Amino acid sequence: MSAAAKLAILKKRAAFLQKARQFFIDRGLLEVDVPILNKFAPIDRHIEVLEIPQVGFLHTSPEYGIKKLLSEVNTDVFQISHVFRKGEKGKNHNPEFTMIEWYRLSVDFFTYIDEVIEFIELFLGSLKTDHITYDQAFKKFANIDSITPISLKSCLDAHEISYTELVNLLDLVYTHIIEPNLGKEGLTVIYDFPKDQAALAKTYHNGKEEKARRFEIYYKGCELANGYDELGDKTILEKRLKDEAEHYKANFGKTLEIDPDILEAMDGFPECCGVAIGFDRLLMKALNIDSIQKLLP
Amino acid sequence: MSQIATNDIRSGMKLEIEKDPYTVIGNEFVKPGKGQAFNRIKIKNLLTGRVIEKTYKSGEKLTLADVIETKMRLLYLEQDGAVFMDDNTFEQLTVPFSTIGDNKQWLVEDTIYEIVLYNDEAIDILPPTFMELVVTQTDPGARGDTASGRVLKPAILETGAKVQIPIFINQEEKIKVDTRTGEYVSRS
Repeated sequence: MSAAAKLAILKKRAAFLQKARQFFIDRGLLEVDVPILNKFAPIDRHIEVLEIPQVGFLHTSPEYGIKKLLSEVNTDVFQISHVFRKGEKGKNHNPEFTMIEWYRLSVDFFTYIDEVIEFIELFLGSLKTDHITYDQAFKKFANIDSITPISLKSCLDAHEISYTELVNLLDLVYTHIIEPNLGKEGLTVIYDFPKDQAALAKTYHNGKEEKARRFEIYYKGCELANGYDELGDKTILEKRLKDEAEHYKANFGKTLEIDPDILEAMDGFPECCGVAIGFDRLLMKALNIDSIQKLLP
Repeated sequence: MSQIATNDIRSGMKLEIEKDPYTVIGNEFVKPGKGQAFNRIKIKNLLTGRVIEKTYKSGEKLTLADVIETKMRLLYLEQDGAVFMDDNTFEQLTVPFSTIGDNKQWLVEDTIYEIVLYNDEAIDILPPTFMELVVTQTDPGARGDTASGRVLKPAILETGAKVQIPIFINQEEKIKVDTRTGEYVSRS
C-alpha cells in the first residue's frame, strides 16, 4: 500500500473515532476504560482467550469490566477498546481488533436497537432497515420452516455444501446460507435468537417458546453489531458460565475459572441493554475495503 | 504423514483427502457472532482437476499430501509412456501416456519437464512454458488470404501438436509456442 493510501485510511480511522466519541458525548454517556488485562477470562465456548502466562487474560470484549462498573454506578457508559481473540484471522477477523460497546439503563429493547442503527448510519449513511427474527431468516433465506437436524442437512445438500462430521449444522447453515443474504440492500436486524444462543442476554417467552433478547445487525453479509437486553440474574449467569466453561474445555483443552466478581456484579445490576460493534468492520464497509487486514494500522 | 490444523492451511499447500491429492486454492475463515468457527477450504483435485469447496470446523486436522515437484529430462518415448531421468541422481521414471494426457503433444527428447510426484508416483508432467518446435506439416500460405482477414493457418509440429500459425511460416521452419495455450508466439 502506498504511503498516501495508508495515510488516507489512518485519517478516516481518526475521524471515525472522533465521530463515535462525539455521538456518545452528545447523548450524555460516560466514557470508561476498563482493564484489558484481567485475572479471570470471559468465557464463551467458541471464543478462545489469549492468555499471558502467570499474569492473566486479555479480554475478548470489555463486557465483564463494564458490567462490574454498572452494578456500582448507575449511569450510561461507553468504551472504545482493543480486544483479543486467539486464532481468529480472516477477511472479517483479526486476533486483535477495536470494539465499541455502550450500555443504556432502563431502555426499551427496540428503542435501543434504533439507537444502534442511528450510530451505524453515522458512518455508512442512511440505509433501508429490515427487522426479522432468527426463525424468519431461516424460513426466508434457507427455506427451513422448523429447525431440525434433518431440515438443516437437506438444506445443506440442496446448496451443495460439503462439510465434515465435526461441524455444527445450525451454525453452518447460518454462516454459509443465511448470512450472505443479510443486509444486502441496507441493514438487517436479526432478533429473537434461540435461547441456547443467549450468551449474556435475558430470555423471554414470546408466546410460543423461550427466546433470547439478543440482536445482531448485518450489512452486506457482514455482522456489525451484537447486542443484548442484559441478563441480571446471578443464578442463571452462573449456570450458563459453568456450561460455557465445560464446552470451552472440550473445544480448547483448558479449564477457565469463573470470575467471581462478574457473578457478584449481578447483585444490584440495573436493567439495561448493551451492544458491541466491530469498529474496523464499520471502517471496512465505509471505505469499501474487502479485508480487515488491509485497514488495520 | 504429517497433519496440519485448518487454521494454518495456506494456498498452494497439498492435502490428502479421501486418498486423493489436492492443492489448496483458498482458505476462508468464517464465524458467526456466537457460534462455531469454520474454515471453508477451496481445493483442486490433482488427479481429476476438479475444484471443490469443503467446510471444516476450525482447528480440525488434515493430512498433508506427499506431493513434490521435481525436474526431469525426457530420455525417450516408449509404446505406452515416456521415460524421464533425474539429471542429478540418474534415476529413471516411466510415466504412462494416460497420466501425461494432453501434454503428450509437447514431448521432445532431451527437454527438461517438471514432474509432479504423489507418493513417489508421477501424477502430472508440465512442459516448459515456451518451446521451440519445427513445423512438420502446413500448406503454403496462399496469396490474398491476408485481405480476407485470415492471417492464420493450421499446422502440425514435430511433436504432433496442432497449432495455428501465420501464413508466412513455411514447413520445416522452427517456431516458438506457448504450451499453456498452444498459441504461436514468434519465429524462433
